[in-house]
Amino acid sequence: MSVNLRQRTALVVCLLLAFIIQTTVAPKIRLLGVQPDVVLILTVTIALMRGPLSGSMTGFAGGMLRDFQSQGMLGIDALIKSVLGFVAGRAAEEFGFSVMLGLISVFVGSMVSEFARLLIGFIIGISRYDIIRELFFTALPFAIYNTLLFPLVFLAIEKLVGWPDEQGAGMIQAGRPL
Amino acid sequence: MRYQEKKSLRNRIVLGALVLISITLLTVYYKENRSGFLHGMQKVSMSVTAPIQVGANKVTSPVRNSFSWGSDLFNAGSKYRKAQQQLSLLQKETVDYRETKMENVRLRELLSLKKSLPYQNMAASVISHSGDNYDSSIIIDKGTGDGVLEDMPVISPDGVVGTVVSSGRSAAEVKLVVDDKSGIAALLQESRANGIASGTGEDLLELEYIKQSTKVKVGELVVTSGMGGIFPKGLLIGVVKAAPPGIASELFRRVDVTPAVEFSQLEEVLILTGYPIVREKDLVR
Repeated sequence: MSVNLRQRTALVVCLLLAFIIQTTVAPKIRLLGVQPDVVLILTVTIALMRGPLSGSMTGFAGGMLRDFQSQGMLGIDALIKSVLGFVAGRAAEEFGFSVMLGLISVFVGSMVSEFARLLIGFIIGISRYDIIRELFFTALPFAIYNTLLFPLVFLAIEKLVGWPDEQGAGMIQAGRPL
Repeated sequence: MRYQEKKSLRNRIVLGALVLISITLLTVYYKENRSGFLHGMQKVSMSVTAPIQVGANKVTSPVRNSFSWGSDLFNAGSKYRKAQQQLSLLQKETVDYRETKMENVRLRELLSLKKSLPYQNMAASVISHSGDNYDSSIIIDKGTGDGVLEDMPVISPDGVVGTVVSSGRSAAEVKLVVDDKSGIAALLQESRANGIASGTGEDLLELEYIKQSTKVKVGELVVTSGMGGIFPKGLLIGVVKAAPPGIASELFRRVDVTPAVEFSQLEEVLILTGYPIVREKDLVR
């Protein structure tokens, strides 16, 4: 098995693992009423390490899994996460990978993701929440929680999947990470 | 350079495709009804992933339990305080509930009496009892502003309470029938003998001016005779407690009467605002 194929297989396994953790463990480790989004953290991590293509595809696949499992609006999570994966990948291409960029990406990505979810829900009429209030009391703790978990997920992905052979998106400009 | 541009274009095309697929799915899902294809797919996926989730739940249970344990330990103090607060709140609610229930019973009785009376009347709450040992009176929460005037009769579902002796704008004082300065024209219900039920300052009334020849039974009801001009006829005052034989040389004898109303537990009363009171000064004129 080539390194590339092994990494891709590992990536799929990681995605499935993240999905399982998301549906089994995450609801039980709520802090301040919010649960982390492991799939989102994984999407950003993959995007930062492997670029916008891998980021958007991971985001789409992970989001789709969540959409099917949550019985909510099909496509909403896939849409948000694929865009998020692409933007995070592009950010890594522009600024080069760093843990700080990862933390910022996860935080901003989490906030934007929650805002987009609320906005889409509001536009199609399934959400009756007060968006400003939800941003403060749900999106903010959610973003902080995800940001705190990012180093853990990043280390796991680095260990299990590793950096791409042809030097990942961020590495092109930033050199060796960490 | 050309490779980079090609790669960038490819990335954008892929993203565009993914966004398009997502939006299409979102739109179709939103438009179709619950029995539609995508809804059906979601249900199938739920059935497919359910066993995986059950297995994963078992595998991950130590992680979840340890987090719960840690979280519980961390929150134990605040949870205990919260539980204590809830307990206090529930205790207060239980007391409130019982209080409301008892009040409901009392108000029902009062309402029933209110409806049965032929005179216009008004309900009032007792806001205080007399503060000294020499005065048997209560303060009610209705006054001249509500149409409550002096000498108006006050009753309860159990019987006669007393008369209004002074009335302020929003409160009035009611002298109880057991006050030692109180006297009501009364009638023994069976023997039909008239007398005056006077207060003794204690929880006892004395029925005076009963003829020596009158046969009085213990337990006989004493009601208002309607002769005093203050109370209408037929309201319960009390029950004969004792009827000792009087002194033979005297014309009248006294009968001990237990008041029908338990004054210390009085909380609501009715004021007969529509009864035409005949005052002494009116008679003189």
